[in-house]
Amino acid sequence: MLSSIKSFIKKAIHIGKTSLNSERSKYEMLLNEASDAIYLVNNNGEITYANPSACILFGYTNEELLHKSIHELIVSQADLLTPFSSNIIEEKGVVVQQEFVRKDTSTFYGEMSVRLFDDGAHQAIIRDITKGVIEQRLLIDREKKFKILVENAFDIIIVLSADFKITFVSPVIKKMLGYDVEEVLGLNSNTFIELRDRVSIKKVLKNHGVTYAINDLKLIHKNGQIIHCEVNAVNFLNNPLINGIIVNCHDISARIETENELLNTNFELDSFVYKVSHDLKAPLRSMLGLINLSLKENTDETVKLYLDMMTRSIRNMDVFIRDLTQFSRNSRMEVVKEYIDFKELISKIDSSLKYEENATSIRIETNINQGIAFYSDNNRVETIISNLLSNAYKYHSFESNNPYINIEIEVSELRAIIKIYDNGSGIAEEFHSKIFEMFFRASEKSQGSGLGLYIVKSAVDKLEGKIKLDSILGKETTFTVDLPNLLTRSYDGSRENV
Amino acid sequence: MMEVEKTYKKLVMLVDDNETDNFIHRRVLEMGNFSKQIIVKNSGKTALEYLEANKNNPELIPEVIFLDINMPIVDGFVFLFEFESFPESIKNSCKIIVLSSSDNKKDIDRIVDNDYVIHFITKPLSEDSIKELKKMV
Repeated sequence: MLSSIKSFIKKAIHIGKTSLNSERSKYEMLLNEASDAIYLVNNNGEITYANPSACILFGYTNEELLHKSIHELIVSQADLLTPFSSNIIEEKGVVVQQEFVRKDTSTFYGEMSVRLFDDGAHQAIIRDITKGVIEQRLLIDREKKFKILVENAFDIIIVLSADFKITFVSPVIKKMLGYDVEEVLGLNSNTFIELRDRVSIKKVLKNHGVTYAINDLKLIHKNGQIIHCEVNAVNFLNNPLINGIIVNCHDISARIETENELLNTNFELDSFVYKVSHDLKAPLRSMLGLINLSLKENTDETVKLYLDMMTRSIRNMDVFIRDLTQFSRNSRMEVVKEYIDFKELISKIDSSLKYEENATSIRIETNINQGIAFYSDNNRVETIISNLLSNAYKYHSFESNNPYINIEIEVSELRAIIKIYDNGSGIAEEFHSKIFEMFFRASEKSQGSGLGLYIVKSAVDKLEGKIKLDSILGKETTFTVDLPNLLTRSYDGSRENV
Repeated sequence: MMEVEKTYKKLVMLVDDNETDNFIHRRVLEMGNFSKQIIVKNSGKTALEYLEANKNNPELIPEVIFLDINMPIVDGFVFLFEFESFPESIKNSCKIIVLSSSDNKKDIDRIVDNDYVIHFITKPLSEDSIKELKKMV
């Protein structure tokens, strides 16, 4: 019985020993084959065990690692174990990230799982995570870069929720729309969209991931001003990363303004060509009518009458073409600085106007006070005076018993004031503001093109002068022209010291 | 059987600021025996004044008005706008024919859209166009 017990115990011990041995070898195999580095450190900080992966990771042989101080393997040695000590009691392992140094002094990041034992020894399992750490740093850098890009872009970048509330907006919104970022977060995007354009952004909801472009969306600045924007919106509500609608707003106000100017200019050009071609055609059509009539008349007398009328039509056309030439010359030619003798100029203009109808029945008074040299652009000054004077003749009321025109010119060092007065038919007050407009004709009697006073005004503007009209309908008209004396100016138009 | 060419209308009015054209058109109307009497108004304004002054004298209201477009202040378009506000009796008895140097399609379309304008003629008025008109009105 005893012997059987002994033998049982013996047997049991044997089995126990064998199983212990087999468990131990299994454990050792596990350690040896583990891909993570594993080591044990005693309470003096000396390594007492290192598995082959640890040797490979640190670049030492097993012999070299044994009894080596753990501090030689760690980059920052400051109180490595402190964070763990609180966990001793709870007997928990702690996972930390730590930078290590190899035998060849190169370093690597490891994720370290540490377990402290009661006697101060510890065990660590280390996995090399250098690659992951670098990737993460790159990611952070990339994020920073992206942030700088977004924050410094000239376009506003907005992320909207499904109900069009602003969840993100780039700071440039301050510059473009006058709002602070904090002010607008959570607001509906409609807050900034002009009423009539509000419907257009909703269309973006229809298709996911498709860019929806709105060429000219009118946004409203905090101060009420309209900002024209080219808007691109993409619906990323399905994308878990973004979960929103990305909207990019590019300010195109300057472009729109230029486009409008261009449209206006084109429109003006169109009307101009239209008016000019009409005015050139009119006298030709009259002549055609007169020729048709002449062919049917059989007395020389009548034909002669028609010839006279044709001459008048040709004269009209001639005057119109002259106006056109003056018009284009004024807009195209540079201002020339020349000496002007007003007495000479007036007599030249007056003799050319002698042929105006009824010119002989109108008395002309001139009063020229030119004690000082006057310099300006001779052609333009002539254009101004001859047009004003010609109008004074044309629209005179010949019924008045004392028809006359008074020309008064006063020259000083700084300017010449030219006043042309007539006691003719006058201009109704309602037309005073329109009289200098292109093709405007203020008189029922007008047979002209409506270009004359427009040319006068443009020429005065070119010479940086001023023109003023005073008139009473049925009584009198005075045009006062104030032209700077270019005597004291250099050619570029700036004043020299006097 | 020969048909005797007779005067067609009693009274017509020419509205044009161009004196030469008024002369030509009057002569062409006379030669074509278009009407017994021709009134010439050299502005849209005086033409409107005439109609206003005679709106209760049907015998002084022209049956046909030849209207120019390009005139100062009251041009053809303004004339037509003002004409709208005349009593029906005048609007129904006056046929308006626009007579212009323009052969611009935009002008023609715009003017022909008007209810009282029955025709658009590009100047000058000729004997042939008078024959056409006689068939129309």
